[in-house]
Amino acid sequence: MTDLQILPPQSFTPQAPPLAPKEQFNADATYTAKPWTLIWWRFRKHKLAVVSLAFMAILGFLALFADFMSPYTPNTISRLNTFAPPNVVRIFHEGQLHRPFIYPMKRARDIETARVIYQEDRGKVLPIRFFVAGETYNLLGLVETNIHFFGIDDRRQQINLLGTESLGRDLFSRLLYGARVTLSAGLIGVAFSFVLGLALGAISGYYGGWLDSMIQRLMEFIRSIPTIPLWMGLAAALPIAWDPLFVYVLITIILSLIGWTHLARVVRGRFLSLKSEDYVLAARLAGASEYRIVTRHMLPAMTSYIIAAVTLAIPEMILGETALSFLGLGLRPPVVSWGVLLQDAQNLRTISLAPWLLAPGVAVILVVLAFNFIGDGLRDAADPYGQ
Amino acid sequence: MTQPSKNAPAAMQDDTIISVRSARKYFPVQEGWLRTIKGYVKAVDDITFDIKKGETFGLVGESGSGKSSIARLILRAYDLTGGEILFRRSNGEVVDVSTLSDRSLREIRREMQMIFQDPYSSLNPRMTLLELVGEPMVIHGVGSEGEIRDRVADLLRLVGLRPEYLNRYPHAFSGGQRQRIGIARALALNPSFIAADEAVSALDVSVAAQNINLMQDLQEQFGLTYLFITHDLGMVEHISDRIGVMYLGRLMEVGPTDEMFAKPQHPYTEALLAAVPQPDPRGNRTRKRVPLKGEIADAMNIPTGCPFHPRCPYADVKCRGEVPELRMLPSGRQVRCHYAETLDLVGVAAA
Repeated sequence: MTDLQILPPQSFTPQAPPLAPKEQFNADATYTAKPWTLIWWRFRKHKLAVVSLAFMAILGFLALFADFMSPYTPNTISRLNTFAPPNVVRIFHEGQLHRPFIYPMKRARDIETARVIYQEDRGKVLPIRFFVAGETYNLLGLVETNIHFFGIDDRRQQINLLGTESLGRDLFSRLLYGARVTLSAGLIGVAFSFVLGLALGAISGYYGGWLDSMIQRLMEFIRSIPTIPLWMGLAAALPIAWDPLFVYVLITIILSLIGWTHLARVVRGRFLSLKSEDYVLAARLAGASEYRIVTRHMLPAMTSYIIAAVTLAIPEMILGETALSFLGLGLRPPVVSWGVLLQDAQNLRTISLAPWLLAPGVAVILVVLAFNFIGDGLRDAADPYGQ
Repeated sequence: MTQPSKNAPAAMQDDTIISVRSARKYFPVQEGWLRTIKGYVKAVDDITFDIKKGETFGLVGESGSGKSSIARLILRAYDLTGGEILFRRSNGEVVDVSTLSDRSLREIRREMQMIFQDPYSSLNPRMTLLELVGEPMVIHGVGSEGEIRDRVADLLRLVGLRPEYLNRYPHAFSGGQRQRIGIARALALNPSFIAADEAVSALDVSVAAQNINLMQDLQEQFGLTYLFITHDLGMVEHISDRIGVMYLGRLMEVGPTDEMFAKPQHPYTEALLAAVPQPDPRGNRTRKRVPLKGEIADAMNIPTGCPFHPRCPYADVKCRGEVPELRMLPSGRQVRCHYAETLDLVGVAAA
């Protein structure tokens, strides 16, 4: 029995291990790296997520400066330019290298069907110019200017990178303005559901008991309601005469009333698992106050999870807004959102005549995918200390 | 010195630092939607023992016997269901930990600390060593930022870690090193009592031995009192002055380590000792083995009579019907067995 005896007490004096030479270089950086640095290092390994993040950063920039980046305002009507196909940006004119330019579109009528058709006029070159003067606008509501990032120097012709719609409005410009509304609807909706989800999830997870049961049942009830009829009901309750901007805010609230449950689940789960974490007990035994335990030990351990969950919730909001507006229950013209733009693509005839009107749909797909990739990357990186 | 304060009615011997008296902890088992209580898990049931100043009291038992619950009750991580736990503060005042207000509890927490079993989950991965080891000082407002820094560096040196590691996060360290960080943190406020809950069970043998020896050195240096909870009898023999054996939330036997190992007086202690691997093959052959039958009973459904009787080779009718009390034998040992005097039980050869 006693041979099992471990080393005699005196023989051991704890000695610090010598620093290995390697340790002095890269390892020390890892060992002293802040949690967020570790999360970023891990996120970086997820290539698709990094690409998506860059994509969203660019799109966010475009949306924010939509009035500067777009050649026209979203409501500039051009009667003689309806359903014009996208212009192709070219760099060769008659076999010669040329600065980027477009050919103007010539409007004609099909002799048999009397349909308007557009043909490129190969004889004339319209070079694309940067920082050209156009319609005046207020940049970020602050500076009044008429400089646009790009455009062409021609009063009669337009540059329509994505074509035009039934009133001859430039789809590219409308898409950028729509990105503003659609993306911010996603962000604001998520912000609302974040507040709801964090509060209810935290109460549910931290206090537990019957309060937890009640909140859980409520969430299950909300999740079981078919969304489209619910949206229809709520949207029908919004008076049609209200200011479109006000309607926009209400729509995001409606979306978040359903969307918060997912976030609440995540928050509750983290609270439950953190509550039984030894280091939380250790802090309590050290005499830490509830406030300190929550703010210093529990919240830092879940912010990355919450951010990941929020990122994954944004595409749901965007899809919700798009679906509602597409059905005519959400935003209405003159507000421009991707869902509103897609309304134009509702009938088969327009799609067959002007397939470019589906561009906002492609934009929705790209943005939803990007957010999902970013969310996936964040979720994988959220706990840099796990296995 | 003893000043029985308002909430400590019963006197405590002068050399005692902790006195657990008839402590009970029942966890309600809830079921269904309305959370009706369908029973209780008696994690700790009528436990009474004293820990003397400067000693190491070992608490052994199988998983689920309630060892950890006792440590958590003493440190008031849980509230008692019944009984009392007296603690002698360093100024001589005796307090009942189980009835203290939050405010006075905070004061007591400077004097009693805990070392955790899992060196991975007991350190917040998002804090540096400086924040981790210094946290108790920050919480209790002891010292300025610079003083805390110096003290943490000293503590790290004391447990054999380089003070340059201050800005590192726990993931930079091995299990054994993390455990030492936990020890440094426990020592931060100069406590007089430390509960070590399976403090070395998660470590491999050589690292565990190092840390045990470190803990013994620290005990000598600072006059610490340990409550050492483990299921490893070899470890407990090495470190403890006295041992309590627990089974299903009850103490089965309490006594000095060497006496208990030489001559157990409870059949459960005998069975535990028989299960300790013997390095000497000859001794192994000659030794009578009493293999333990079955498994520890469900704590919600404790057997009638002596809780150990279904697994006890010596049990008879009396054991099945009558609950034995923890009684003091003339030798000074405490045993919870009807036949403690008559049974001739086998221990292990003395060291």
